[in-house]
Amino acid sequence: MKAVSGGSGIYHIGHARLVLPALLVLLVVGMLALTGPSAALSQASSGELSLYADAGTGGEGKSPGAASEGHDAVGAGHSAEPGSHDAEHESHGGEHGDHANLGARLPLWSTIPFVGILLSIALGPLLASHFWHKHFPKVSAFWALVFAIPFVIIFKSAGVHEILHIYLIDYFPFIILLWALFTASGGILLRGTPAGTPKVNLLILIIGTLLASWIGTTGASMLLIRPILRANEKRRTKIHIVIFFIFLVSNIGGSLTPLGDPPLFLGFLHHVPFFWTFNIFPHMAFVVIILLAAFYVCDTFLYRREQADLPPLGKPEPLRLEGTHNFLFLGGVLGGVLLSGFWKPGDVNILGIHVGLQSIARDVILILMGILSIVTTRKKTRRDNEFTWFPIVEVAYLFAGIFMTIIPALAILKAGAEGALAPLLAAVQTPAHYFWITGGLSSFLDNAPTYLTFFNSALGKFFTGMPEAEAVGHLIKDQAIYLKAISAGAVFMGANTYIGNAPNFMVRSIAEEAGVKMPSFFGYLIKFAIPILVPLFVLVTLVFFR
Amino acid sequence: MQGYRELVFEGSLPVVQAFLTGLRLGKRWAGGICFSEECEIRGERRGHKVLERLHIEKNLTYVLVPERCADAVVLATRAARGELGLAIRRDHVVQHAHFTYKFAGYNRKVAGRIRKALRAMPSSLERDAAKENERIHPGSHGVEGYAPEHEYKYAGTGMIKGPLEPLLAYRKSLARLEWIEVTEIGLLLV
Repeated sequence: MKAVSGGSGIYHIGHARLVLPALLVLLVVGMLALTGPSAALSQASSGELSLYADAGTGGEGKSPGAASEGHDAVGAGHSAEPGSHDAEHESHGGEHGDHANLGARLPLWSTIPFVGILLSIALGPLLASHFWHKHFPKVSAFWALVFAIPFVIIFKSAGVHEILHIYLIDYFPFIILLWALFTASGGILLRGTPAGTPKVNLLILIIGTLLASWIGTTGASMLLIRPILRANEKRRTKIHIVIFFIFLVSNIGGSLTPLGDPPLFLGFLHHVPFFWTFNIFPHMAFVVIILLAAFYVCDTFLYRREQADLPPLGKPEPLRLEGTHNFLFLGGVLGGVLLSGFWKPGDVNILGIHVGLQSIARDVILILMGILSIVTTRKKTRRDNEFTWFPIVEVAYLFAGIFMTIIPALAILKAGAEGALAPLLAAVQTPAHYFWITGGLSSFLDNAPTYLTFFNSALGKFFTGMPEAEAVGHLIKDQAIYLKAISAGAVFMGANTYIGNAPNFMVRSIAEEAGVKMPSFFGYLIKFAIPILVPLFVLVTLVFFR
Repeated sequence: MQGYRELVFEGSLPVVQAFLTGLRLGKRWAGGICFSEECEIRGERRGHKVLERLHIEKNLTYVLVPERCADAVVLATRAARGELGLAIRRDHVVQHAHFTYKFAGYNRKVAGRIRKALRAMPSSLERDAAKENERIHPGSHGVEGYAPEHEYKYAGTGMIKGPLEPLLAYRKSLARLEWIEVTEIGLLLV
């Protein structure tokens, strides 16, 4: 059963759709039970888990650690300064080495489910849209289970630990943030119809670009796409407006904070400080100014050409914001995320995973903000906003599969030269390489897992064996240009195709339903992205990543 | 309905244009001459363009001339050959012209406008291999990031064929709607 838009149905998420995630959770819990959860937990906390011995690999007697803040679960000591966002990592220096061990042992083909799910997401909507629309949760569950079952059978409790770790530390906070942003921004409705002149269009794009970093690219896109389409309803040529909207509001505008685009939030979950992303401001400003100037010239030219035979634009209807109190909840989301970066109260052990109390507090605040938004926003406002839960349900299902299947890829990358992807690490050398390979893959695969993959590849390349928190600190201090290249590549180049970032498809669908003839997948790529964005990204490379 | 002939001139487009404009004005013809390149008529043009690029063919200009004027054009071209260097390489009767179209609309208002445009086809033309499909997925919705599917879709394809003159005008009227894509006009020559 799907989320529906009509009436009170907008708050429904069907029970049938909850079956698959429930099965996944049951699988994990079941495996935990079968493989001795108490042993896993006690070993995890004592740091003496014999993962590799269990697996018959004669390992070091420690867990593989993990991709992020919960390494500690299987770590040795617990001497980290309490309260650190990454206290766990700091306290368990040896774990990263264990993670590298897992990465060194995992074969390259163990990443097939990860590649499979990313390709499914990329190709499903293009090649079999109806099938994909109906069955994507099953496809996601399929790839997740293809990886999880053998992984848990072979690595037993340590495998379960890895899975629990990535879900508790990455997946749930990720989904909670997106849900909170989506819920609060979906309660804000911009009514009215401005005049579709080049100046007004430019202004809307500037506002959208600035908002995107604070309410997310999805939130900013949903807030402004309908007003800009209404404003230009009578214009004959509208495609360029939607295209530049996708470039700026749905992608590049989101590069300033972890709230802007999912990859940057994953970076934040992995110890990149909240305000570090401001370092990408020069890159973003460079791209945004050029794109806005190009848009204004192009829109002015087309507007003047059309003016002779355009019907009168009609009297603009004044703009009016509804549900503005949701900005308070968006502020609460920002506050919750910031709090988790600064407040260091210690951590708790959940099923053997050490989770920072600040992370739990953040998630509670975010959930509270979302609930307050639901309770206090008029249903009519959401209905008029065509708000449904479907987009967030999509993200929840698909990222459940992505986070499960990304485990071997991250472990292998973190193993650096010892891992099966050593040739890739050797080939990707310069910041320009990182910018283009992260960006190139983000164009066709989802940019969040792509970011995480190359973020880990940089850590594996420069700081193999070092605990993640420490390694990220060094990366930011000594090799910041690499992280800038990865971040800018992942966010900027999501605009290269419709499948590069989730809001792109949303904007395209809304524009098509409003009667705009949007280019096909290849039309977008060949007529707009390659001629406009690729030369711009070459300039970015020459200016910033040479 | 007047018939047409495709005349293939050896000579550049501006020279042929100037020549035929002078002839048309001198003979007081109402119009009806069209240049393949400007009217998006494929005719034989495409293959010859490649040959021209390879310098196998000379500079050719394809012109559609109403049957009633064609003989006069041929005679005048022969007469002016020495001065302008123009020659007619080929001369074919156009039996009929055709083009294909495809469309997709994602709301009922757009679908209505597409239907209206398709229904406005002149009776001298005929529609061939027309397919249309109206699909409604009540469960789908526009705001979907990863599994997008429209709630409503009206899509179709088809081919229109018939005499050149009404076909040119009808194609132009369809092309004005951004949701309908039309191909170049093909010609059946005898």
